[in-house]
Amino acid sequence: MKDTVVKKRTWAIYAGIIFVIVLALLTILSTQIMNRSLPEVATVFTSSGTITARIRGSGQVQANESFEVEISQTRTVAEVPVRLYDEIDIGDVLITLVGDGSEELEAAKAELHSLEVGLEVKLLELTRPDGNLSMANSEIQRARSNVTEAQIARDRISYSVAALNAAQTANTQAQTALSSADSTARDKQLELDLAEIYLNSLNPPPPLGSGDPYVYAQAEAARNEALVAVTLARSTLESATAAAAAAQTELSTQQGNRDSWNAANDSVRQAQQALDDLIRGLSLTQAGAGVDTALNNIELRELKQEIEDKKAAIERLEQADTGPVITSLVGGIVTAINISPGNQTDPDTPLMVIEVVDRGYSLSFPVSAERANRVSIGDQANVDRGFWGFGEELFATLTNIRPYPQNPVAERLLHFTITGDNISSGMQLNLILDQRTENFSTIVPNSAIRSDTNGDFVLVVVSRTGALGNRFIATRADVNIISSDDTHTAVSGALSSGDFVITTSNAPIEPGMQVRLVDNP
Amino acid sequence: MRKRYFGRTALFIITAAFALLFLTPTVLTITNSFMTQSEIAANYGMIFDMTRPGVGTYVADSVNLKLMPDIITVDQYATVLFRSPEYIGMIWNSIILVVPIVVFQVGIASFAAYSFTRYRGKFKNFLFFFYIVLMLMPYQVTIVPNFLVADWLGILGSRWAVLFPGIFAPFSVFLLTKFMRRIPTALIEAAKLDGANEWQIFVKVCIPQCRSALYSIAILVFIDYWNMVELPLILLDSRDAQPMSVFLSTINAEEAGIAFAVAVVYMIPPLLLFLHGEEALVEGITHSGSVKG
Repeated sequence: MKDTVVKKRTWAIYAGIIFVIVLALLTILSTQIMNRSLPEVATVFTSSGTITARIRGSGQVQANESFEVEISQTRTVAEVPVRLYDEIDIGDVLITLVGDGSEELEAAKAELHSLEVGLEVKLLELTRPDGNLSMANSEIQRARSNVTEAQIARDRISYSVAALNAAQTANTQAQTALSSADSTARDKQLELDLAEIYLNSLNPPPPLGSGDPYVYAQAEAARNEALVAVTLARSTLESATAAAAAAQTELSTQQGNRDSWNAANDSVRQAQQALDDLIRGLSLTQAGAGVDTALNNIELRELKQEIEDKKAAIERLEQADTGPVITSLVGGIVTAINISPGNQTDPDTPLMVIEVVDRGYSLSFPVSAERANRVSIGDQANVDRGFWGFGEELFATLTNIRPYPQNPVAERLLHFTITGDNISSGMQLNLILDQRTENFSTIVPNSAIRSDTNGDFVLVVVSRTGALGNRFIATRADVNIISSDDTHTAVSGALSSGDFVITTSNAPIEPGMQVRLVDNP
Repeated sequence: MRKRYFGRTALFIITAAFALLFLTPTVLTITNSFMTQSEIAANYGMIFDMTRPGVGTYVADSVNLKLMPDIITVDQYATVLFRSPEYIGMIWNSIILVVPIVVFQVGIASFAAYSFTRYRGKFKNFLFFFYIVLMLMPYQVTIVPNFLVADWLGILGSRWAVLFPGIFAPFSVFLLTKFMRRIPTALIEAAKLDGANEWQIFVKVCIPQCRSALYSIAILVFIDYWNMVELPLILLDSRDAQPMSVFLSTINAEEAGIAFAVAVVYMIPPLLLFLHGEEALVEGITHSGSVKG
């Protein structure tokens, strides 16, 4: 048991020793492996110094003045005798055109002709007699005749309201009399019948009967009187009946006259209505004819005005016509030809661009406002034409500093006048303008300057001491570029003299990364 | 007989279950240290999203405890041992902090225990009682005074701020005092009669008698300070000086895979120490008065 315990203790001790040794070895090994994997950087320390800043810029030489050959009308080009980059003088033929006039002029003339024809037609139309009015008058005459005839026909009818009323009254009276006579006759008849009955009811006196002869005689007398009354009543009734019939006939006649007269009167009214309508129509027609006349007068006036305007336009076009050729108004070099034979000219597009050589050449490029403050008008810039810049000596003089249109707040446009031999528009030149030499407290190599969306910065190596030795961490320091030349840049910001800035590395570096120095692997 | 067999079996099963339960975190740590980073993020990434919601998006929407990796790889170990010396540096920081604490605490505690055992002074009992009170105080109570004293001494931020409180801890004094009091007085008297002075009695009589206690105290202190987090976290401001235990307590989603491998490596020293002094530990705890026997 004790041997086992001793063995275990010994084993544990050995294992612990091995663990420590392995840990030490791994410490060295892993440090070496890690260091080998770190990006290697070259550093320089910041210092003070002088910088003769240079402004470098490039651009294309442009002539100070260019002349654009334009034509305001559409013409067909027959020939273009000049070529690109030809040197021309004032009066040289640039373009030969087809025909004598432009399309606009021809069109204007055609329009004028159609307007004049239209005017003549209008005038002819206004003098033509109006057939519609004559027809209307004839119709009115006929209508008047109809009215007159209707009136005559109506007047022929003997009808009067008084006669009708009288006939109605007479008829009424006759009917009343008839009715009364009839009633009387009935009564009398009744009396007669009663008397007959009474008489028949009586016994006849003797010899025929035994009745009272006085009573019978009275009854008989009464019957006779009744009979006479009946006879009289019947006669009256017959007379009344005849009178009633006559009255009725008269009334019917008067009523017939009345109806006829009403019908005739309706005819008269209708004829009159028709006449009135015709007269009203004629009035409207006459009024419309008056408006038409006024409108026609306005149209005529407008037509005449259009004709005058068209004539004026034709006159202008004729004055602006260049004729069969276009000649140069300036002397210079043809730098652009935008037309070719057979094509039509476009009033919106210059036909040619002529560089006026007498006005000189210039070159412009933008720089920051801060740099622009360090130069002044009149400074001479060196012209670098690159590899091909042999023989010709060119001079560039700063003649203008103005705000850069695309960034007027932060940038300025430097304008140089280029002089010398064999200058041509389009030539690419590099200008180097030396600024004043200045002392700066913090200068770093140009290769140390980096930039991102947050601005310019440098990476500074910061040393940290640890148990495993020094570690070097790349730390970001934001800077502002003050000035620079070909090799160094003066900066200000979170950087002090003596800081080690990273200039180059063998791998991409980000702030916060551990790096190793070239002199200290 | 059958009853005893059944009882033993049941007890075995219960204890085995508890043993498995206690072993599960360790087994998980070891097996997960052989997982790839992506697999760890897929299985455990949600844990970190719970603490910092919305920080990341993970494949699984719940934590998945996996004992077996899908693909066994030693890439985490390679990163810890070969590619990233800062982890090994943290282990060295732990060694640099813990070894002096153990050595000096045991040494100073032995001196203090001998004094408490041998000398009878007026205020000895009161002082010993004070030591017990200090021992019973949780570290949350003493951390602020430690910070203030370290700041006053000007050692705040340096390793001494951690070493001093560790070296002068009362627990070892209490334990060793209890053990030394059990040394028979006759031995000491005999040594005195033989002409030994106090130092010789201390070195030649007491220390050999307390070897097991010293072993057990060393092991316990080592384990205690090997896992310390709060002291170095508060008293050390430089990440380069902090021990591995602090790193293991503050891992994030990207470091989970490395943390498993680091934990496995980190558990080797205390494991070896325990294996080396297991018997002494048991004997020391037993004879220190915790268990009568």
